[in-house]
Amino acid sequence: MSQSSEDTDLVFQFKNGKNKDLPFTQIIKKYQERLYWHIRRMVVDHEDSNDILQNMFIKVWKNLDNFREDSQLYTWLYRIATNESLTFIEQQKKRNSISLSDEESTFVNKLEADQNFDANKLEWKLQIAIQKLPEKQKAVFILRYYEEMPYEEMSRVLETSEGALKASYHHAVKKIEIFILNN
Amino acid sequence: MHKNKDIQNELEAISIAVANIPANEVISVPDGYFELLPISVLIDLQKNNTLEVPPDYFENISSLIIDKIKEPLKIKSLKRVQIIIRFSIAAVLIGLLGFGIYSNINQSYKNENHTINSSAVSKESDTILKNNSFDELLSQINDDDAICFLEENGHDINAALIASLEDENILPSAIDYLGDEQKLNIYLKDLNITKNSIIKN
Repeated sequence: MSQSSEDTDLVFQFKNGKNKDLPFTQIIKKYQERLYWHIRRMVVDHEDSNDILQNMFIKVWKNLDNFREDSQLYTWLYRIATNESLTFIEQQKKRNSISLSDEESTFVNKLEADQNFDANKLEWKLQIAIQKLPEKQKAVFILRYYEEMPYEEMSRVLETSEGALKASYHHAVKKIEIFILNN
Repeated sequence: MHKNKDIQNELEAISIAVANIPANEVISVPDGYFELLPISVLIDLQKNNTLEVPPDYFENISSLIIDKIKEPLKIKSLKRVQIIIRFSIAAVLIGLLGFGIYSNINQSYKNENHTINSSAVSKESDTILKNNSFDELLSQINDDDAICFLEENGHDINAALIASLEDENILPSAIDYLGDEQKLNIYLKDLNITKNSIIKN
Protein backbone atom coordinates (compact mmCIF):
# COMPACT_ATOMS: atom_id res chain seq x y z
CA MET A 1 0.00 0.00 0.00
CA SER A 2 1.45 3.38 -1.00
CA GLN A 3 1.78 6.18 1.53
CA SER A 4 -0.99 8.11 -0.14
CA SER A 5 -3.52 5.25 -0.26
CA GLU A 6 -2.64 4.26 3.31
CA ASP A 7 -3.41 7.83 4.41
CA THR A 8 -6.66 7.85 2.45
CA ASP A 9 -7.64 4.65 4.22
CA LEU A 10 -6.82 6.12 7.66
CA VAL A 11 -8.82 9.26 6.90
CA PHE A 12 -11.74 7.10 5.71
CA GLN A 13 -11.64 5.05 8.93
CA PHE A 14 -11.55 8.23 11.00
CA LYS A 15 -14.49 9.77 9.17
CA ASN A 16 -16.67 6.67 9.00
CA GLY A 17 -15.55 4.29 11.70
CA LYS A 18 -17.11 4.03 15.15
CA ASN A 19 -13.78 4.31 16.94
CA LYS A 20 -11.87 7.38 15.82
CA ASP A 21 -9.06 6.86 18.34
CA LEU A 22 -7.53 3.94 16.47
CA PRO A 23 -6.97 5.51 13.03
CA PHE A 24 -6.03 8.80 14.70
CA THR A 25 -3.36 7.12 16.84
CA GLN A 26 -1.97 5.54 13.67
CA ILE A 27 -1.80 8.94 11.99
CA ILE A 28 0.05 10.38 14.99
CA LYS A 29 2.49 7.47 15.10
CA LYS A 30 3.14 7.74 11.39
CA TYR A 31 3.88 11.46 11.28
CA GLN A 32 4.85 12.51 14.79
CA GLU A 33 8.65 12.30 14.35
CA ARG A 34 8.80 14.14 11.05
CA LEU A 35 6.44 16.83 12.22
CA TYR A 36 8.22 17.12 15.57
CA TRP A 37 11.58 17.70 13.90
CA HIS A 38 10.11 20.20 11.49
CA ILE A 39 8.61 22.18 14.39
CA ARG A 40 11.68 21.74 16.60
CA ARG A 41 13.99 23.16 13.93
CA MET A 42 11.67 26.13 13.62
CA VAL A 43 11.27 26.96 17.33
CA VAL A 44 14.35 25.20 18.83
CA ASP A 45 12.98 24.51 22.33
CA HIS A 46 11.65 21.00 23.03
CA GLU A 47 8.81 22.14 25.34
CA ASP A 48 7.60 24.70 22.82
CA SER A 49 7.80 22.09 20.07
CA ASN A 50 5.83 19.62 22.17
CA ASP A 51 3.10 22.21 22.85
CA ILE A 52 2.84 23.15 19.19
CA LEU A 53 2.80 19.52 18.07
CA GLN A 54 0.07 18.53 20.55
CA ASN A 55 -2.07 21.57 19.69
CA MET A 56 -1.54 20.78 16.07
CA PHE A 57 -2.82 17.23 16.47
CA ILE A 58 -5.83 18.50 18.42
CA LYS A 59 -6.63 20.79 15.49
CA VAL A 60 -6.19 17.86 13.13
CA TRP A 61 -8.70 15.81 15.18
CA LYS A 62 -11.22 18.66 15.13
CA ASN A 63 -10.89 19.28 11.40
CA LEU A 64 -10.18 15.87 9.91
CA ASP A 65 -13.90 15.19 9.39
CA ASN A 66 -14.00 18.24 7.12
CA PHE A 67 -10.70 17.44 5.34
CA ARG A 68 -11.71 17.44 1.66
CA GLU A 69 -8.65 15.47 0.49
CA ASP A 70 -7.91 17.97 -2.27
CA SER A 71 -4.33 17.64 -1.05
CA GLN A 72 -2.60 14.69 0.56
CA LEU A 73 -2.86 14.22 4.31
CA TYR A 74 0.92 14.59 4.53
CA THR A 75 0.83 18.03 2.83
CA TRP A 76 -2.07 19.15 5.01
CA LEU A 77 -0.24 18.11 8.19
CA TYR A 78 2.92 19.95 7.17
CA ARG A 79 0.89 23.04 6.35
CA ILE A 80 -0.68 23.03 9.81
CA ALA A 81 2.68 22.37 11.51
CA THR A 82 4.37 25.19 9.58
CA ASN A 83 1.56 27.66 10.23
CA GLU A 84 1.45 26.78 13.92
CA SER A 85 5.22 27.25 14.21
CA LEU A 86 5.13 30.59 12.40
CA THR A 87 2.20 31.72 14.56
CA PHE A 88 4.13 30.72 17.68
CA ILE A 89 7.18 32.73 16.57
CA GLU A 90 4.94 35.69 15.79
CA GLN A 91 3.20 35.49 19.17
CA GLN A 92 6.51 35.29 20.99
CA LYS A 93 7.70 38.34 19.13
CA LYS A 94 4.57 40.28 20.09
CA ARG A 95 4.55 39.07 23.69
CA ASN A 96 8.13 40.09 24.27
CA SER A 97 7.91 43.01 21.80
CA ILE A 98 11.25 41.98 20.43
CA SER A 99 12.85 43.02 17.19
CA LEU A 100 13.95 40.61 14.49
CA SER A 101 17.57 40.57 15.71
CA ASP A 102 16.44 39.91 19.31
CA GLU A 103 14.25 37.09 18.08
CA GLU A 104 17.24 35.50 16.32
CA SER A 105 19.35 35.78 19.44
CA THR A 106 16.55 34.25 21.55
CA PHE A 107 16.64 31.12 19.40
CA VAL A 108 20.43 31.16 19.26
CA ASN A 109 20.54 31.43 23.07
CA LYS A 110 18.26 28.42 23.31
CA LEU A 111 20.60 26.46 21.05
CA GLU A 112 23.66 27.51 23.05
CA ALA A 113 21.91 26.44 26.25
CA ASP A 114 21.73 22.86 24.96
CA GLN A 115 23.89 20.56 27.07
CA ASN A 116 25.50 19.09 23.94
CA PHE A 117 26.23 22.45 22.33
CA ASP A 118 29.70 22.67 20.78
CA ALA A 119 30.48 26.00 19.13
CA ASN A 120 33.29 24.44 17.09
CA LYS A 121 31.16 21.83 15.42
CA LEU A 122 29.91 22.67 11.93
CA GLU A 123 26.55 21.03 12.63
CA TRP A 124 25.91 23.47 15.52
CA LYS A 125 27.10 26.40 13.40
CA LEU A 126 24.56 25.35 10.80
CA GLN A 127 21.83 25.33 13.48
CA ILE A 128 22.76 28.84 14.56
CA ALA A 129 22.88 30.05 10.95
CA ILE A 130 19.38 28.64 10.36
CA GLN A 131 18.02 30.55 13.36
CA LYS A 132 19.40 33.76 11.91
CA LEU A 133 17.27 33.38 8.78
CA PRO A 134 13.96 35.27 8.38
CA GLU A 135 11.18 32.96 9.56
CA LYS A 136 9.68 32.05 6.16
CA GLN A 137 13.10 31.52 4.61
CA LYS A 138 13.86 29.32 7.60
CA ALA A 139 10.76 27.23 6.87
CA VAL A 140 11.79 26.82 3.21
CA PHE A 141 15.34 25.80 4.10
CA ILE A 142 14.19 23.28 6.73
CA LEU A 143 11.61 21.70 4.43
CA ARG A 144 14.12 21.38 1.59
CA TYR A 145 17.35 20.56 3.45
CA TYR A 146 16.00 18.30 6.20
CA GLU A 147 12.63 17.07 4.92
CA GLU A 148 13.87 16.86 1.32
CA MET A 149 10.50 18.05 0.18
CA PRO A 150 10.00 18.56 -3.59
CA TYR A 151 9.26 22.19 -4.52
CA GLU A 152 5.90 21.14 -5.94
CA GLU A 153 4.86 19.73 -2.55
CA MET A 154 6.40 22.66 -0.68
CA SER A 155 4.41 25.01 -2.88
CA ARG A 156 1.20 23.44 -1.56
CA VAL A 157 2.41 23.54 2.05
CA LEU A 158 3.51 27.16 2.01
CA GLU A 159 1.07 28.31 -0.66
CA THR A 160 3.90 30.00 -2.56
CA SER A 161 5.00 29.54 -6.17
CA GLU A 162 7.78 27.07 -6.92
CA GLY A 163 9.91 29.83 -8.44
CA ALA A 164 9.65 31.95 -5.30
CA LEU A 165 10.54 28.92 -3.17
CA LYS A 166 13.63 28.14 -5.26
CA ALA A 167 14.78 31.74 -4.95
CA SER A 168 14.10 31.72 -1.24
CA TYR A 169 16.08 28.50 -0.75
CA HIS A 170 18.98 29.93 -2.78
CA HIS A 171 19.09 33.05 -0.59
CA ALA A 172 18.90 30.98 2.56
CA VAL A 173 21.82 28.75 1.54
CA LYS A 174 23.91 31.80 0.61
CA LYS A 175 23.24 33.44 3.99
CA ILE A 176 24.18 30.23 5.79
CA GLU A 177 27.37 29.97 3.74
CA ILE A 178 28.39 33.51 4.70
CA PHE A 179 27.74 32.77 8.38
CA ILE A 180 29.73 29.49 8.27
CA LEU A 181 32.68 31.09 6.49
CA ASN A 182 32.76 34.06 8.86
CA ASN A 183 32.47 32.04 12.05
CA MET B 1 21.81 10.77 7.12
CA HIS B 2 22.16 10.51 3.35
CA LYS B 3 20.75 13.24 1.23
CA ASN B 4 18.60 12.80 -1.82
CA LYS B 5 20.94 13.09 -4.81
CA ASP B 6 18.98 15.85 -6.55
CA ILE B 7 18.85 17.92 -3.41
CA GLN B 8 22.56 17.37 -2.72
CA ASN B 9 23.44 18.43 -6.29
CA GLU B 10 21.27 21.52 -5.99
CA LEU B 11 22.97 22.40 -2.71
CA GLU B 12 26.47 21.91 -4.14
CA ALA B 13 25.53 24.19 -7.04
CA ILE B 14 24.64 26.96 -4.59
CA SER B 15 27.31 26.45 -1.93
CA ILE B 16 30.00 23.80 -1.57
CA ALA B 17 30.64 24.90 2.02
CA VAL B 18 27.05 24.22 3.09
CA ALA B 19 26.84 21.02 1.04
CA ASN B 20 29.88 19.67 2.91
CA ILE B 21 28.40 20.13 6.38
CA PRO B 22 27.85 16.66 7.85
CA ALA B 23 24.15 15.96 8.00
CA ASN B 24 24.23 14.66 11.57
CA GLU B 25 21.47 15.47 14.01
CA VAL B 26 22.89 17.32 16.99
CA ILE B 27 19.64 18.22 18.74
CA SER B 28 18.25 15.55 21.02
CA VAL B 29 14.75 14.52 22.14
CA PRO B 30 13.92 13.23 25.65
CA ASP B 31 13.91 9.42 25.88
CA GLY B 32 10.55 7.78 25.25
CA TYR B 33 8.99 11.02 23.99
CA PHE B 34 7.55 9.56 20.79
CA GLU B 35 6.19 6.48 22.59
CA LEU B 36 4.14 8.65 24.94
CA LEU B 37 3.05 11.37 22.52
CA PRO B 38 -0.03 9.60 21.02
CA ILE B 39 -1.41 8.87 24.53
CA SER B 40 -0.67 12.42 25.62
CA VAL B 41 -2.54 13.84 22.61
CA LEU B 42 -5.56 11.60 23.24
CA ILE B 43 -5.66 12.67 26.92
CA ASP B 44 -5.53 16.31 25.80
CA LEU B 45 -8.38 15.65 23.41
CA GLN B 46 -10.51 14.14 26.19
CA LYS B 47 -9.87 17.22 28.32
CA ASN B 48 -10.83 19.38 25.36
CA ASN B 49 -14.00 17.40 24.74
CA THR B 50 -15.30 18.15 28.24
CA LEU B 51 -15.66 21.77 27.12
CA GLU B 52 -17.61 20.98 23.98
CA VAL B 53 -20.95 22.72 23.47
CA PRO B 54 -24.11 20.62 23.24
CA PRO B 55 -25.19 19.68 19.70
CA ASP B 56 -27.38 22.32 17.98
CA TYR B 57 -26.50 24.87 20.71
CA PHE B 58 -25.51 27.56 18.24
CA GLU B 59 -28.51 26.81 16.01
CA ASN B 60 -30.93 27.34 18.88
CA ILE B 61 -29.24 30.10 20.88
CA SER B 62 -30.79 32.97 18.88
CA SER B 63 -34.38 31.73 19.37
CA LEU B 64 -33.68 31.12 23.08
CA ILE B 65 -32.50 34.70 23.48
CA ILE B 66 -35.52 36.08 21.59
CA ASP B 67 -37.87 34.01 23.81
CA LYS B 68 -36.18 35.44 26.88
CA ILE B 69 -36.54 38.97 25.56
CA LYS B 70 -40.28 38.43 24.89
CA GLU B 71 -40.94 37.16 28.42
CA PRO B 72 -42.85 39.81 30.45
CA LEU B 73 -40.60 41.71 32.77
CA LYS B 74 -40.95 40.82 36.43
CA ILE B 75 -40.96 44.06 38.39
CA LYS B 76 -39.55 43.53 41.81
CA SER B 77 -41.05 45.87 44.36
CA LEU B 78 -38.74 47.42 46.90
CA LYS B 79 -38.74 45.28 49.97
CA ARG B 80 -41.17 46.49 52.59
CA VAL B 81 -38.49 46.24 55.24
CA GLN B 82 -36.29 48.63 53.32
CA ILE B 83 -39.13 51.13 53.00
CA ILE B 84 -39.86 50.95 56.73
CA ILE B 85 -36.18 51.41 57.54
CA ARG B 86 -35.95 54.43 55.27
CA PHE B 87 -39.02 56.05 56.76
CA SER B 88 -37.72 55.32 60.22
CA ILE B 89 -34.47 57.02 59.34
CA ALA B 90 -36.41 59.91 57.90
CA ALA B 91 -38.38 60.31 61.12
CA VAL B 92 -35.27 60.20 63.29
CA LEU B 93 -33.55 62.73 61.07
CA ILE B 94 -36.57 65.00 61.31
CA GLY B 95 -36.26 64.78 65.05
CA LEU B 96 -32.62 65.78 64.81
CA LEU B 97 -33.38 68.56 62.37
CA GLY B 98 -36.10 69.86 64.64
CA PHE B 99 -33.70 69.70 67.52
CA GLY B 100 -31.09 71.60 65.51
CA ILE B 101 -33.55 74.32 64.56
CA TYR B 102 -34.83 74.50 68.11
CA SER B 103 -31.32 74.81 69.55
CA ASN B 104 -30.52 77.55 67.07
CA ILE B 105 -33.46 79.60 68.24
CA ASN B 106 -33.10 78.81 71.88
CA GLN B 107 -29.74 80.11 73.09
CA SER B 108 -30.24 78.77 76.58
CA TYR B 109 -28.01 75.79 75.86
CA LYS B 110 -24.81 77.06 77.40
CA ASN B 111 -23.03 73.78 77.79
CA GLU B 112 -19.96 73.89 75.51
CA ASN B 113 -20.14 70.30 74.14
CA HIS B 114 -23.82 70.62 73.55
CA THR B 115 -23.34 73.89 71.68
CA ILE B 116 -20.80 72.30 69.33
CA ASN B 117 -23.11 69.39 68.56
CA SER B 118 -26.22 71.47 68.08
CA SER B 119 -24.48 74.02 65.89
CA ALA B 120 -23.10 71.23 63.66
CA VAL B 121 -26.56 69.68 63.40
CA SER B 122 -28.26 73.00 62.69
CA LYS B 123 -25.67 73.83 60.03
CA GLU B 124 -26.32 70.50 58.34
CA SER B 125 -30.07 70.96 58.64
CA ASP B 126 -29.82 74.42 57.07
CA THR B 127 -27.94 72.95 54.11
CA ILE B 128 -30.51 70.21 53.66
CA LEU B 129 -33.35 72.71 53.82
CA LYS B 130 -31.68 75.11 51.42
CA ASN B 131 -30.82 72.43 48.85
CA ASN B 132 -33.96 70.40 49.41
CA SER B 133 -31.58 67.40 49.40
CA PHE B 134 -33.24 65.32 52.05
CA ASP B 135 -34.33 62.47 49.76
CA GLU B 136 -30.97 62.44 48.05
CA LEU B 137 -29.11 62.15 51.35
CA LEU B 138 -31.53 59.54 52.57
CA SER B 139 -31.02 57.39 49.50
CA GLN B 140 -27.26 57.44 50.11
CA ILE B 141 -27.62 55.63 53.43
CA ASN B 142 -27.26 51.88 53.06
CA ASP B 143 -29.35 49.41 55.04
CA ASP B 144 -26.57 48.34 57.42
CA ASP B 145 -25.81 51.93 58.36
CA ALA B 146 -29.51 52.62 58.73
CA ILE B 147 -30.01 49.71 61.12
CA CYS B 148 -26.92 50.71 63.07
CA PHE B 149 -28.17 54.29 63.29
CA LEU B 150 -31.60 53.21 64.44
CA GLU B 151 -30.14 50.96 67.09
CA GLU B 152 -28.31 53.96 68.52
CA ASN B 153 -30.91 56.66 67.97
CA GLY B 154 -34.11 54.87 67.13
CA HIS B 155 -36.03 55.51 70.38
CA ASP B 156 -38.01 58.24 68.81
CA ILE B 157 -41.65 57.26 69.14
CA ASN B 158 -42.51 59.01 65.89
CA ALA B 159 -40.06 56.75 64.04
CA ALA B 160 -41.70 53.72 65.57
CA LEU B 161 -45.11 55.00 64.58
CA ILE B 162 -44.07 55.57 61.01
CA ALA B 163 -42.28 52.23 60.82
CA SER B 164 -45.40 50.38 61.92
CA LEU B 165 -47.64 51.80 59.22
CA GLU B 166 -49.33 49.13 57.14
CA ASP B 167 -49.60 51.12 53.95
CA GLU B 168 -46.70 53.32 52.93
CA ASN B 169 -48.84 55.00 50.27
CA ILE B 170 -50.63 57.06 52.90
CA LEU B 171 -47.39 58.52 54.20
CA PRO B 172 -46.84 62.22 53.62
CA SER B 173 -44.10 63.32 51.26
CA ALA B 174 -40.81 64.36 52.83
CA ILE B 175 -41.15 67.91 51.51
CA ASP B 176 -44.43 68.37 53.40
CA TYR B 177 -43.22 67.45 56.84
CA LEU B 178 -39.60 68.53 56.51
CA GLY B 179 -40.28 72.24 56.99
CA ASP B 180 -42.77 71.90 59.78
CA GLU B 181 -42.67 69.26 62.46
CA GLN B 182 -46.19 70.17 63.42
CA LYS B 183 -47.38 68.89 60.08
CA LEU B 184 -45.99 65.45 60.90
CA ASN B 185 -47.89 65.46 64.19
CA ILE B 186 -51.06 66.38 62.30
CA TYR B 187 -50.48 63.52 59.89
CA LEU B 188 -49.98 61.14 62.77
CA LYS B 189 -53.15 62.33 64.41
CA ASP B 190 -55.05 61.95 61.14
CA LEU B 191 -53.80 58.42 60.86
CA ASN B 192 -55.10 57.81 64.38
CA ILE B 193 -51.95 56.04 65.49
CA THR B 194 -51.24 56.18 69.17
CA LYS B 195 -48.49 54.91 71.38
CA ASN B 196 -50.90 52.38 72.82
CA SER B 197 -51.87 50.98 69.44
CA ILE B 198 -48.20 50.52 68.62
CA ILE B 199 -47.53 48.70 71.84
CA LYS B 200 -50.52 46.45 71.24
CA ASN B 201 -49.25 45.59 67.76
